[in-house]
Amino acid sequence: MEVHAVGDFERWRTVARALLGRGVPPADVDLTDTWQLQRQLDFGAAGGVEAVEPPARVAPLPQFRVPQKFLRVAGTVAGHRAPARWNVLYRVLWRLTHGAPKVLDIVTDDDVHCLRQWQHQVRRDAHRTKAFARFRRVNAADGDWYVAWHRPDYRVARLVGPFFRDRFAAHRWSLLMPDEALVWDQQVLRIGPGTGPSATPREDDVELLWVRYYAALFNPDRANPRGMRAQMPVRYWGTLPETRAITSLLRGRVAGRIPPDAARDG
Amino acid sequence: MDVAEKLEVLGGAAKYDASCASSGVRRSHSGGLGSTTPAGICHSFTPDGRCVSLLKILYTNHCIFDCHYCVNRRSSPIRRAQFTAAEVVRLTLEFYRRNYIEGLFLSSGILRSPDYTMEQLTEVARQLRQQHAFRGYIHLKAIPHCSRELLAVAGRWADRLSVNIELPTPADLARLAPDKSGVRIEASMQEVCARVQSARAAVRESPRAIPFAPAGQSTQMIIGATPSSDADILTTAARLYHEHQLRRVYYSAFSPVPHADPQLPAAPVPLVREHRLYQADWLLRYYGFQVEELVSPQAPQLDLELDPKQAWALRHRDRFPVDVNRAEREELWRVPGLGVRNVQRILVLRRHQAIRLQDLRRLRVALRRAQPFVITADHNPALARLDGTELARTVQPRQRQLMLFETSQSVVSGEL
Ligand code: SF4
Repeated sequence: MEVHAVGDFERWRTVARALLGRGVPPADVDLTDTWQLQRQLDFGAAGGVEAVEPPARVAPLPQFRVPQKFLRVAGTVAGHRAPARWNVLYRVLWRLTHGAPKVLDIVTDDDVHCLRQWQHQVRRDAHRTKAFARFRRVNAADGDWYVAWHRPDYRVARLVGPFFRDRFAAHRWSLLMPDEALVWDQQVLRIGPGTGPSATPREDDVELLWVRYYAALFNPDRANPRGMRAQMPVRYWGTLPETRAITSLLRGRVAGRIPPDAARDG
Repeated sequence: MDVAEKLEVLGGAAKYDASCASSGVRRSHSGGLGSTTPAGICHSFTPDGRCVSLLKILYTNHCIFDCHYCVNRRSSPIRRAQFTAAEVVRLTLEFYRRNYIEGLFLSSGILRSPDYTMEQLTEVARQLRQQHAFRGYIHLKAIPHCSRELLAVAGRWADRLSVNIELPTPADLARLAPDKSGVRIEASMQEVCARVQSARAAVRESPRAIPFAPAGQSTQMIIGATPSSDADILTTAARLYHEHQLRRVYYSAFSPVPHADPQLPAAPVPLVREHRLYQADWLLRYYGFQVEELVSPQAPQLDLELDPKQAWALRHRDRFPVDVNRAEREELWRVPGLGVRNVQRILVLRRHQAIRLQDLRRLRVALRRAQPFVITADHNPALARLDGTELARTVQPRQRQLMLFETSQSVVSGEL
């Protein structure tokens, strides 16, 4: 049995391509996950910054024809934490190239089902990062930066990088996360090592306006805290300024306080 | 009054507007601030479980009209406030840069005249687009009775325009919104529809053509303020979808306003009614149903206990069971518990293998609802229930809780 250490998508591609070239069947190889190990190394090294290549531009494995869709799935699943993902990816790749080119259509197949679930989880996490990352303005000597600290469950920097770059192209920003960080200086989008929550900048005044606005949206006739927590899980609340208002809003409702009136509009 | 207070009054005032969608077309992002995405994003959720996607505010809650169901009406003794264009622009940009919102949804009470008010709204949008190169989402409410020329200007800056139909029938409108004219409201919809379509055709010809409200138009209908039935509501909705190419009709359950008119109901309309209407609306738009299949002169109200597809299936048991390995797409759409996406997955999967119950389970089909209605490649014991009298009970949601939770979702997805 061959053993290879794999920590990210690029490494997996390199290893998988070599294995496939030598015709090594999945049963004869074990691709062990080194993410945790790599994290420690990343924290040690100050550098480790690279430019982000948008996932869409990844070239197909040259000598083997696999569906683009598989590469998209693999690129996403790579950000998951499940240690088994590299082996499952290789197994599906093997099947795609050995007589089952449509295996991805069989969504109830064990391996495919597994990949789809991981893909779904990472995508949802990326979506929540786009939704819940909250930036604060920081005045630097050479002008403003917008800085956010957000804790996703998986590694989503590569998935969300192009989105934030396109949306906030007009100013400089950093999105800090525990495992990785994105930095946009209005020229290049870079991905670098992660940081802890202590890197979060102090609140800015606009946040107070946002909290007031959020509080005004509450409709006591419709309070549905369970629905809210399902959509916006409590583990994100630490970095969502508006959630500070929630407890008092719900308590106010119990006490019978009626918030400012609501209206229809023209 | 400072901006924070205005935000409280005029944000609170806009909260009953149900439309939160921010999805549109993909906008180019060369330079400038912002982007819109096809899917749209909910950046937060209120304690009542609703999506917060846009800075949704009124420009002012002053109003010269006197619609009975509205707290802003002329005769209502409330605290009034009014933004300036510069204030709205600044709030939008500052919130947007911090990633609180996808953009702005600006509506208003009527100040001086409909045209004067509409000019204020378009000016906000113009400043955002022209002076600040803002490329985020903008939804403008078309003020009722404003001129065609102003609609033309508004659509140039906005992603979406909405003209509110307000109430299900012209008689309801005459009774509760005496200043409003249903004919003029629909004329505005027609105008927007025509401009959206011609701009879309022009953009297809040349990508440099000027777009007009590329995310189309929507409307909102208050339900339960008048005795109009679900059949009236859905008939109107279906007609609007058809005649004015609306993207969405939003239903907003009436809740009593202070100092209310005695003509209005005293209690809020059950939210579950609103939820059932969204489900029915979804069936009309994506599942090939006709209004007459969901409601009829004999049964003009939707069943509050069952989702409308389930209710339809129980009334049409002769159309079942449906064989998931052979049925056409349209037949599968009609099976309770099977959504459009799962039907697509089933169609792909069955090219490769026979589908069994366990496969449906893996696709996360709601088997409790679907199982009595389908034939699978293996033995399906639940089929025996199809002709039993207990079926309605066994396919109902187990808890009331569940239904309320679903309610908050239905505005966003409408999925069954
Ligand atoms: S025109 Fe609009 S804001 Fe004015 S009273 Fe009627 S619904 Fe309310």
